[in-house]
Amino acid sequence: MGRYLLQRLIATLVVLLGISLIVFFVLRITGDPVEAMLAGTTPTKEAIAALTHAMGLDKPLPVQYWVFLTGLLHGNFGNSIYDGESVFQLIRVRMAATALLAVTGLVLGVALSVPLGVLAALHKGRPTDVGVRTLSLLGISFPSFWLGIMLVLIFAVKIHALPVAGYGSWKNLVLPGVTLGIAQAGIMTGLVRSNMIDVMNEQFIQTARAKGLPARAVIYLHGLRNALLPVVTYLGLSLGTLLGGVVIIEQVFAWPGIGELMITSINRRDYPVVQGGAVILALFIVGSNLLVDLCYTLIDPRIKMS
Amino acid sequence: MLRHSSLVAGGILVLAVIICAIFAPHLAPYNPLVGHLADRLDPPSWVAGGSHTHFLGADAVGRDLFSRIIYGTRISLLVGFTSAAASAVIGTALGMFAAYYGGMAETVVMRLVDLVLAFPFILLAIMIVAILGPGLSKIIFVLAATQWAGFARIVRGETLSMKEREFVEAARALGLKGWRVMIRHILPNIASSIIVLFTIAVAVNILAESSLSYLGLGVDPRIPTWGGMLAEGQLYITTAWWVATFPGIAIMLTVMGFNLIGDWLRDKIDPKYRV
Repeated sequence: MGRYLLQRLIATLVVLLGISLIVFFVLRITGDPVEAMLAGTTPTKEAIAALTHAMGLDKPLPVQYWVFLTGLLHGNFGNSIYDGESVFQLIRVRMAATALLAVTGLVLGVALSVPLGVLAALHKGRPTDVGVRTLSLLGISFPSFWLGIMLVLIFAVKIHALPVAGYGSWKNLVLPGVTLGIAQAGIMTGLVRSNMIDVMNEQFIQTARAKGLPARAVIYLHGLRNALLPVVTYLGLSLGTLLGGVVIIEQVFAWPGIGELMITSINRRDYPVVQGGAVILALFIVGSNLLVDLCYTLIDPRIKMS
Repeated sequence: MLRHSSLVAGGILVLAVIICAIFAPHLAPYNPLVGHLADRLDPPSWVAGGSHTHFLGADAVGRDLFSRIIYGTRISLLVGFTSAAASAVIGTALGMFAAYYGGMAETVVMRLVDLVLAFPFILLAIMIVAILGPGLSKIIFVLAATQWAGFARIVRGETLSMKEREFVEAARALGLKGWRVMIRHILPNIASSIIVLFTIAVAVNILAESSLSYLGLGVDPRIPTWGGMLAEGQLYITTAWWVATFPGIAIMLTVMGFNLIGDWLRDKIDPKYRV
């Protein structure tokens, strides 16, 4: 177990290092931030040189990467080139908005997909099942941002029940949260359904039935509990997809999250913010993958520790 | 019956989209690029006070929405197919290679897969488009660069189990070179999974292309794309609902077509999910 843990930790570190490398070098070839900062003015050569020097951009690339990496290890993500604010602070504030949206979407997604998936599995092949499968097919077939726009059209434009966009009150959270929830449910319902069908065919379910347990107890205590295990794994592993979805939905609803911050920062060539944001997002994703892996090993000892 | 109905429905949808893409100039009643300001934001023809000339209405510069949606099939299908094909080829090659040779090669490939899967796709896409600038070939490159990992992971798993089968061992015992064993004996046996993945990848890529175009990171904005039309439509959401509604329906029907075919294929291959 100790050895497995160590191996996974090293692999995780390698992945993170790789991500920091990609982010660093990709951004360095996208354009000169000094040019972007001085756009609109007619700077002298000296001014350009001074700014380049002040930001450390005149050092060789490997040195710049080293400064960036050692900074990360000290929790120092640098300051925004655009407004001088601490990158860590900027991301921390935005992360709260993103987390709020992501958690809301995830909770709604689970609340929709688990009952629907179980319902479909228990009525396999019958009209209920066909209905649920059609719904989940629809859910994975339209782009989430389109659903968002349609919800705005109905609930904000036509019946004025909710705000079009913005941030602050719970009313602002409803439309983006529901959009994300439905998008997640579209993916997860099919997963819950097929797992539930598999589990209900297992021998331990027949045993539970044979010993006279009420149907409800069989379904919930024995069936659902086992069917949800792979769903939990999926949830952990799909954090990247979830965050990707959040980035686009943030654009639809002008939600001041990390995705909105990063897209703005990329356009401003604000290197430190994009670097910090990408590394922190990747840290979350890789960390959750590691956690899921470890939890799964603890829950299911059949998984080899090699 | 139900199994086949999903193939029929999916087939009809996909075929309709392909026909639209090929015969767009013959099917579209108007030039998709030219607007008539007099027709600006004309509602669809069946709505009260609707346009007499534009079936699905017109956009903010008076271009015919129906014609633009028909032309939009071209970019969607082109990006969907080529990027799925590219990622299938790269992912399959690397996945088989990793599983067949194992050791260091496997470690490197699988860590690379972890890396790509750990990175939020949309972020990578934004960064790549930011460097290379928007454009058709870059979008295809971005999608292929992020989606091959899914193929590699599945193909590796399937190859690992094939590797232990007797016919593969026999081929190796006969002294066949590694690449011949992989192409002649392993690939045909894992092809069905790759085809299912491919169908789903086309659907995923069409959705991804529409997301990128919506964010303004897609192809040349003058070319009609469904995602770009949605972004424009959102600006007029309070006055002209049709501009943002119909391109979304077009995306949904197309993606659903590919998903239906993918579902049907998966049912065929894995009887566990049969109804």
